[in-house]
Amino acid sequence: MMRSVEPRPQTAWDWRAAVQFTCGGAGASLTVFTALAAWQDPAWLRRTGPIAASLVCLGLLAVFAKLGRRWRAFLVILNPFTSWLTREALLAPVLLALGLGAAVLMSRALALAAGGVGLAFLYAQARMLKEARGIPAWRTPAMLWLIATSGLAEGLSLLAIGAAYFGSPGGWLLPALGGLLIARLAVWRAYRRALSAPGAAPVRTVAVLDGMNAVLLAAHAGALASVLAGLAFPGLGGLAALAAGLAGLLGGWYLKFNLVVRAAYTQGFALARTPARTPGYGGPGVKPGWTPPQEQER
Amino acid sequence: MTRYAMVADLRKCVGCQTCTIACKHANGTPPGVQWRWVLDVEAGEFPDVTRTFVPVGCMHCSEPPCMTVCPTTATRQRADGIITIDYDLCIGCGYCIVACPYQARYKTTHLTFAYGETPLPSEQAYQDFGRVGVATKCTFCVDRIDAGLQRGLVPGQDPDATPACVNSCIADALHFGDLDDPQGNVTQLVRAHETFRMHDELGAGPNIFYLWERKSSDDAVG
Amino acid sequence: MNPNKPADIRHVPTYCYQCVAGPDLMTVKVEDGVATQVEPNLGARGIHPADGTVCVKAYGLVQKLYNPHRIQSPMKRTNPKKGRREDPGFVAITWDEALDLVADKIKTIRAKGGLDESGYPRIAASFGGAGTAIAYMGTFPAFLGALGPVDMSFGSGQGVKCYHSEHLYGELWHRAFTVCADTPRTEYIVSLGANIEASGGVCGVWRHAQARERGIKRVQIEPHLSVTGGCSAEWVPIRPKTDGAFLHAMLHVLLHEVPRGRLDVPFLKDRTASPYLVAPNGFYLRDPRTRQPLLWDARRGAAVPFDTPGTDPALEGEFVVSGVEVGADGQTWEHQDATCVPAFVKLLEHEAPNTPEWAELICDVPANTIRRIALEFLEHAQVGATVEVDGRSLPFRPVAVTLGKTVSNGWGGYDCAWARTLLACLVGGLDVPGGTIGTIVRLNRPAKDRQSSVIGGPDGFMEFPWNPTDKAHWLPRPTVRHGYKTLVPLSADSPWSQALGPTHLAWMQQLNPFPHWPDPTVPELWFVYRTNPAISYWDNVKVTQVMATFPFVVAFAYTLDETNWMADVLLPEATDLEGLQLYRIGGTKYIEYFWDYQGFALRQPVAEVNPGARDFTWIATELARRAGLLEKYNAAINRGATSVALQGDGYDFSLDVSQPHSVEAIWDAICRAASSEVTSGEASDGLDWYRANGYRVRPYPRLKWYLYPEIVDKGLRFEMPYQERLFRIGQQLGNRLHEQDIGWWDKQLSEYEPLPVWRDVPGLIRQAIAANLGGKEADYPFWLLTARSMQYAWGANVGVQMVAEVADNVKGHKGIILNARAAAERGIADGDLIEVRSALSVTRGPAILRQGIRPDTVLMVGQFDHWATPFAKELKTPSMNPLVPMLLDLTDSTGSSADVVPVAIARVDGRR
Repeated sequence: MMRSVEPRPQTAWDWRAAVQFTCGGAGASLTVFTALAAWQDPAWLRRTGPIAASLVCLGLLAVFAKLGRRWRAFLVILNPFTSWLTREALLAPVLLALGLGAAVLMSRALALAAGGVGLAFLYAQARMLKEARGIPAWRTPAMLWLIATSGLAEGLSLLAIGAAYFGSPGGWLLPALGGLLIARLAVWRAYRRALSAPGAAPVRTVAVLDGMNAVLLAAHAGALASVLAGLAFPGLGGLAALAAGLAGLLGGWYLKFNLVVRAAYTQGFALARTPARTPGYGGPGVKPGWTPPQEQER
Repeated sequence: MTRYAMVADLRKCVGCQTCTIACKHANGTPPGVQWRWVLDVEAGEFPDVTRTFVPVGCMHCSEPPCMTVCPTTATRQRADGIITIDYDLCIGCGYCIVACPYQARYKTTHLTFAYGETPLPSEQAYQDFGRVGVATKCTFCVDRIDAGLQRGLVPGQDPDATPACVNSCIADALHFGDLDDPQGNVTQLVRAHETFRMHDELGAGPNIFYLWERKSSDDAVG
Repeated sequence: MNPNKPADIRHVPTYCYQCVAGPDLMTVKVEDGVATQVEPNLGARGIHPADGTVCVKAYGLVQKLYNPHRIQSPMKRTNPKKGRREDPGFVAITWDEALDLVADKIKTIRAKGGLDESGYPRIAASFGGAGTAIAYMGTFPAFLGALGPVDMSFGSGQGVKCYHSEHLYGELWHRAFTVCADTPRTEYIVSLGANIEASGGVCGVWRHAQARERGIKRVQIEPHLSVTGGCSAEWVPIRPKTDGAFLHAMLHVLLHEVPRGRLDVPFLKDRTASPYLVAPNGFYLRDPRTRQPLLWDARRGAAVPFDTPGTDPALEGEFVVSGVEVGADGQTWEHQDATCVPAFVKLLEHEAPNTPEWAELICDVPANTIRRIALEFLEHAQVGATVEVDGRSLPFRPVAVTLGKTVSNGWGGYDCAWARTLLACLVGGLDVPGGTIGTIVRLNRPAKDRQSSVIGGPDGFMEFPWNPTDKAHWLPRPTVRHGYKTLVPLSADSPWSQALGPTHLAWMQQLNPFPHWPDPTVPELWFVYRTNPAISYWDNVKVTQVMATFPFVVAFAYTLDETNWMADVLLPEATDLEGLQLYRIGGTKYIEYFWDYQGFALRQPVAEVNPGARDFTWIATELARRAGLLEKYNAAINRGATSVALQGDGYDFSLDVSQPHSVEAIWDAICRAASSEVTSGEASDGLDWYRANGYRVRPYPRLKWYLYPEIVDKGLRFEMPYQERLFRIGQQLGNRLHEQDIGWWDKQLSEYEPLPVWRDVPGLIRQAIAANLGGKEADYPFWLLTARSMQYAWGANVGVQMVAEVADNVKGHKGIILNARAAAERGIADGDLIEVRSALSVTRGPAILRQGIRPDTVLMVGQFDHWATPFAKELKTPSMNPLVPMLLDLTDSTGSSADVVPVAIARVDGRR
């Protein structure tokens, strides 16, 4: 293996980690919206509640699968003081217990509590990525908002898909979904802008983000069009919700999967100065694989 | 207090990889795993080009991002600043690997050997299942330091208490010592020279100081 | 740290001499009987110049020891057909069978007489790595000494991949088989392609690192930015093989653009031949009676013999003088009132047209850069300064010019070696503290140290053991296949001279015999050890074909490789960490290896020896015994064929010559003699002492790093600038060859010039290839070069996984380096598979794009392309060797050629 000076794709977290963020995030978020839907119609507790729990479980299983030492996975709880992975791991059983408890007991209060924990779980996920300071694409503050808004959008998208089958939980669904999609798109733009700034991210990370943009725009355009269609033509009802939900969910998962697996280049290496091989002959710094300094100055 | 640090004199390093291979010997790391290695960095455009050789590895940061993310507290910071990994606690989640801005950490999924499936006697001697499936990285040869300290030796001065890479360096480019000792070798070197720390802007407080130029005598005073 | 808590830990001292820049000291950590770690011998801090460290190669030895691909027992070939496509069908045999097989062959050959019908030795031997093999072959040199004539013509790379001109001319001019800067003192180095950070060993790397810290400025002039270029203050990209023009222009600046007084005029007058008067036919004007060269004494206003006391020799002016001129083959001219000029004037005239502006067009280096470097060289020289060394005041000239391989071999090598030596003379910096110094003699004798070989000659220069060219003594029939004594007077006739002959001629003539030259018979027995010419020589496809015709090849074999693929018998010897041997260390030796101590170090088995392998000394003793050579073999050991004579001043540890001795007994005797030598007879510790302590040294005076004091003490002069002797010898050699109707060496004869005339070397190479191989010069617009790799050079370690792994961190080991812009113009991206084609052959590899290489240059690091060596054959790394032809037209007068070839490159699709 040639060790590159330039940032290279991280290999520690693969598709299994991505599944944790896609399924886990969407599931946790779905808990939130299940609670909201159940406020008017408790039946939702048994409609989407178990799905939310399953998704969270699936995410946890994926993480479990990538552990180097699975049989001592329980040690994950040892660092609640600073590790957001521990915190996420501690929140997961609470989330599952509350969510399933709400479904079994048909308790809106428990559902609300589960929703609250779901929000915390989602935040923990976002913080996990942000605290991964070896990955420039993750550690930027915008990442926090991106994971949070996308998680919420995915959860609501799932609810919209459910609405296509079970009927709408209320008139707020499509406007709320539209709002979340617009918010995610705005955060995505802000995120991209932040990382595309000179010296903000590895060149290859920016290239991957650039490559993702068209798909994301298309997904959001499709989802938003469906939302608008659903609002303009109430007769479309479930079909619009299904289309908007699918586009919103897949767009979010595409976003996260690519952020975790493809855009996650390492920091690479850099020199603040090149050495003086004779006194007085030191040179300027170098940061291979990042925007060249002259472009940074512009 | 003690804070162990390393100085890499970029003026001297020739990128020979002697430290890389000495580390592999001292720590018995498997093929492909290099806790210490030396980068070959080119900069500029023809004909104004420089080529710099940069020893890298775990920077034993003062504010280690790998440690705070670790969910099991396997990664810890000793009082002397050395960042350790407890292989019995690590679950191999890989979080520390992505948290490290210096690509210093490794995780192997199974034992591998230089020539096929069978370990050489030298590999057999160092075979350690405890390091499979967990995060590993440069330890600053902590066992060597501790053993040396027990014998009253001074890390960075006495070879038996000094990291193997430093002992092996054929350009006298690597130095190790206590940065809190005002008379110590690394303190003196850092004081008398222009240095930088890699990715200092990320705030991890790395403890490898890259020395790139001598200070003028006026600057060096105080 | 060993996690498995070994019960028994030992640190065994030994040495590493895998590269020519050693040997260096190390220890091997042995845990519960298993060698686990190579470690520096830090106990040698303050004694070893690099504080007891060893380089990356040494750390490959543990894997080398335990490599599962090792030959596990002697083997015999069963397939009589030889060739790359022929499986040798090796089968295991016992050591008895193997040794008898070889001994019987030796006896049969010796019964026929040592020389064959062509006058060539029937037995040949090839060893690799610039003499490093000797440090691993135990008493085998004594066995070779007992064997009678042995042909060492078949080279592994010497001549085409070494500093050949430097070796030969360096020994002539200042007893400098290798030349380097006095790095511990120097302040400015002009390094033309000398890749010292890769090839200078730990002593070189350590000292240059210290020098950089101290404030040295090194300017690296080379077509690609090597490791050394990277570590230099400045990189000057120069067109390949135009270094001679660069140096001529530096001379021009010093001779024509600065006031004469800034040069070291006293040095030129008294320590060089600059004032010697040159007569009309180009030879020195001599005293009719004593035949001594004359110089013009400004004080007397008359021409006087050079050694006349109290003269003020004139460097410049035209003088009407009388005397005798002695040309080739005793031809003389009596001159009455002839107009003569000092050699210095000849030099001035010679360099007058070679301006930096002239050189700029040739070298593609701006004239102002050349001028600046010349002036910086002069400024840093501190002409007039002195320094005290070991209580003696000596000139201090902290400037040096160093030359790399490819620069200092082949056409243009004469210019470079001469100009470098002359630049040192102009500032009085030849072999003085801080200056350009030599480190070892290999051709001159005695070889005890450089000083011992300084013997005054009639013209005021050091004598040189030329191979004779006069009618009475010239050897019309070559004694070995490359004919060094016949063709290359400068190669002398020491035990090292065969290795410094035109080794490619031995391979070439096997395919195309030379006219009026003995039939190129094949050796009836060829010994091979630690060398792989099937990979490391040029046009290695043909070299491989040639060795496949050798009827009986005995290879000391570590693993299978491309050369021993053609062997008839494989003998697995105890390797680096298994064998027993005492070797000289310290003093002054190759490249930067000069110490403040000298003595001996032991190489010893650090762990259990591979059960199938045998110690080299055991093999040599058994072969000697079985071949009936025991007495001669033992006598050779007693004489000191290994490293030290067993009898000396006040001691005698001689072996009974009639008996075979055990490996331990032999080395115990040698250890005792070494102890006696080092302690001047005070101690006589044997093997056990060295096993425990590793090495023994005594101080070596730093004064002996420099030849200048010896020159002064003996009243001699450096033979600079004018090469009257070479001029004469060249003419005589031409006469001799032409008397034999040999015309194929005429191009080489043209190089015997008193002052080297710059030839268009790049053009000469292109024309030679087009003329011999066809194609148009324009078809091959790139220059293919190679560069030394510290990880591999000389190491015979290409099968070691750990070395391959860490070498990969240094750019270029796994592909072809080319300029990023030149690549982009051809649609080549980093990592693309490209084809590199010369007029001879083609190879492929992934492109590695870099900025630090000229757009007209392509680089392949190291020498790979293995197809038989286990592990190495999986690396699939390209090599330049198949692309480089062996041609007489590319061979200079010293018998060397430069490692460079014009090529075309193109991106190809598909897999390698």
